[in-house]
Amino acid sequence: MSNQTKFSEDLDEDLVRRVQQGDKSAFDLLVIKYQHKIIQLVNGYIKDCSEAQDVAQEVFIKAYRALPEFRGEAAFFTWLYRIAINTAKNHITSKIRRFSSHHIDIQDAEHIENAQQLKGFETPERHLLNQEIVDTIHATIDSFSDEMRTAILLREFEGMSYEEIAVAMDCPVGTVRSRIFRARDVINNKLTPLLDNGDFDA
Amino acid sequence: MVILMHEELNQKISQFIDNELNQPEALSLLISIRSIPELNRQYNNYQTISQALKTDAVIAVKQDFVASISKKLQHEPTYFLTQRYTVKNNFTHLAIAASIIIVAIIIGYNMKVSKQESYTTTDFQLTENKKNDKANQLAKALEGPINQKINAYLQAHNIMSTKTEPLYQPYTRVSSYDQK
Repeated sequence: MSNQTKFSEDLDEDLVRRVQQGDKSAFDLLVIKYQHKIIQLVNGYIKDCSEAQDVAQEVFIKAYRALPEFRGEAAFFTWLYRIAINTAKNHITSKIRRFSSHHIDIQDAEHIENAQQLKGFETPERHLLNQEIVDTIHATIDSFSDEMRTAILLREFEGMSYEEIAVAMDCPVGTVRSRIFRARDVINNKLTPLLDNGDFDA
Repeated sequence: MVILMHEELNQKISQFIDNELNQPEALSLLISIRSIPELNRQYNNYQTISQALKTDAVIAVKQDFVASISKKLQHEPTYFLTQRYTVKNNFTHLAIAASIIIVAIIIGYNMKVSKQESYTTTDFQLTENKKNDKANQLAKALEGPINQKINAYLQAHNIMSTKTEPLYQPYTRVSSYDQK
């Protein structure tokens, strides 16, 4: 097991134990840790971002209710993933059943209030904003020095640890850590106006 | 100073996203993220950037995502379970117990072996002591008054009977002289 996996699993084990022994606030920390991954996973099934986040919330509620039964045979994240997949699939199934029970004329379909949900696509404005964000990220990375670009790409695309990157780039681990942080910081500064102005809470 | 602290925390967030923070540091950071909105925003942005790089999709988490869940959980029961040993813990405890048993067996075996050796040594010593006792008794018997006739016969036939050799020689010469 790599150090990174061990760090993550040790933290999960500690937080789960705390929740099982009465510290409800420890569950908030688990939510903070896994919210992005679970929302991304659910988004793979449910394209509407807002709806995906609602379903993701449901995943965490279900996970909390099932926590007394969690015995640690599998890693916590694996267990949470299974809940997320089942919840997303059940949500889609119940949605299909709900809409198939309505007898809708094809010509009237466009005028239905929930047509957008049926499609499951983001709004044109959201789509444009997202595209702009992605383009800005790529443009910013292209402007980096070779070392900084290599460090962030090895980390994000290859999933290499800092130690592995240090070996690959023949530099200290501290340098790798610093380069990756700097890269993220620069990208964040470029994106802040877009992220702050985007209506992501809709 | 404040800016430096922010930068240090932002660097910790970057490390945390990459699972490069150890458990105590990660726990401390999560608690800070939960309680400091600015830190929470920074964390969400870094995560968004990381995911957008990998998937070319932007998924920005709602600011009140965690708070909404926390609010809903207020109506859920609080758990007070006795410590559940995970399968990993079971194996750990079994390993420790097995190690203790093995060490106890080894110590016990070593003690048994050393005891046997001390018994053998004692036996040898006892045997030696007995032999010495017999020799001493024999020596005492020889030193003490001996049947005079036997002694005289032995002396006459030139056989050492006692330790007192000087007494033997004059008696033989006298005997030989008398016969003549």
